[in-house]
Amino acid sequence: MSDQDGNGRLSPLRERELIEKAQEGCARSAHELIGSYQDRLHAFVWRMVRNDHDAEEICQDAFLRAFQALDNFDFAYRFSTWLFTIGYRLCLNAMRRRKDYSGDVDFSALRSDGRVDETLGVFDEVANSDEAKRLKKVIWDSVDELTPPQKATVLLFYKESLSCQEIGEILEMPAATVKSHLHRARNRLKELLERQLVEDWSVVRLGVA
Amino acid sequence: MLMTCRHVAQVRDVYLDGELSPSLTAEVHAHLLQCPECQEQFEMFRACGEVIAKDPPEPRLDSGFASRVVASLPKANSTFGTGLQTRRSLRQRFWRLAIGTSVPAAAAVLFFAVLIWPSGGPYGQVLPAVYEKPADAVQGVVTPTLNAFEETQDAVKSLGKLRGILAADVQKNVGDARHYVDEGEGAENDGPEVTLLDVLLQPFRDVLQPIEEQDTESPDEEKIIRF
Ligand SMILES: [Zn+2]
Repeated sequence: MSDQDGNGRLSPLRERELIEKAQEGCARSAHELIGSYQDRLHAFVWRMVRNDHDAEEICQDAFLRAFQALDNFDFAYRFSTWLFTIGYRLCLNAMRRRKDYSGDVDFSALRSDGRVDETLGVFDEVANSDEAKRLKKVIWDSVDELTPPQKATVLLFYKESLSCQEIGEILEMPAATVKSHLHRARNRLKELLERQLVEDWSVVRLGVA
Repeated sequence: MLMTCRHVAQVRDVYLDGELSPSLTAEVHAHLLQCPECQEQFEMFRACGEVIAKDPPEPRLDSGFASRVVASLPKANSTFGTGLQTRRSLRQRFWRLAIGTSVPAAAAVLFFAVLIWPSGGPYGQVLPAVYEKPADAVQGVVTPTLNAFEETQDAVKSLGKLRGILAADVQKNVGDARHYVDEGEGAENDGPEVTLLDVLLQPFRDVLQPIEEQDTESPDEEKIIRF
């Protein structure tokens, strides 16, 4: 039986096994757990804080805290829920600490116009059209305008494909509150995006694998 | 009868959440086929969802990340497992604080922690341990408790609910714990209304300083994040 599902994620069984071994102090299992989750956690955290250095620090901190408290892990939950809960809290801390978190100092590359954006590079070689590039940037800029809980909700819903219930476990709020964040986020995105002159939103999809 | 644009707007979020019934979904689709405005809006949301889900890839952590994390885990010989050193010192710090704060106050803290902590959540199972083994309860409760309270207004709200019920108990303990509160930030707020949170957090604050990130400077920093 495979250790991973179709998305390359750990099967619950394998995850449990790794956690139990890690609880006993098996460094290799800890290593495998980290390896299985670091990209997902980092993608989420990086989107939240939009800063490479902070994102790495937060991920490291999140894993350390998760492992140090591993004895208290409740197997009724996924390890990812636990990890993302810690990660989200650390994001809020970092954003609060960084007074200008909504400014564009730290991610000027993503906001720059008129030149190729390095972080967008790889994907956009597939993506191509200038219009598609522009729309993607417009969308991400709009996502960055959302409040932290709205942004987290949107990321977890669309990127992690989690249910509102699961998102609520991570953000420590009822599913109904998650929904209202999601709905408000959509209204806000609509408001921001409708100002853009877009002939055809479907061109974006050509650039999305 | 076909849905109007207003009907579509009303069910938009349920549809986008993927929770609209099949029959209503069919009606939405029928409307979209003959309404370019709504179609464009839904196309926009679809584009948003797809871009957020897949594009562009975020930068990735370097390949040495996992090894670095494992290397920085507390170690007992070659494994990090027992982490005895960390825990023992956490316990010592806690009990030193707890005794300093007076035992009743510490007991109140655990009591509140149990009451306020949501029944669900990944930390749920640590709660019974609070009653069984006070020493273990320290390590089990410290982190989640701080996490639970830290900077969330929800915590303050839950506290508000408890305040009425527990006012009497609090009064008994506030006196003992007051010196911590006065040393801390919110000194101008002297009533139990505000000090309760401080009283609850105080014993953990020191232990969990790392998560608070030595936020010693301006109090207005606290106002930046709002839910
Ligand atoms: Zn319409």
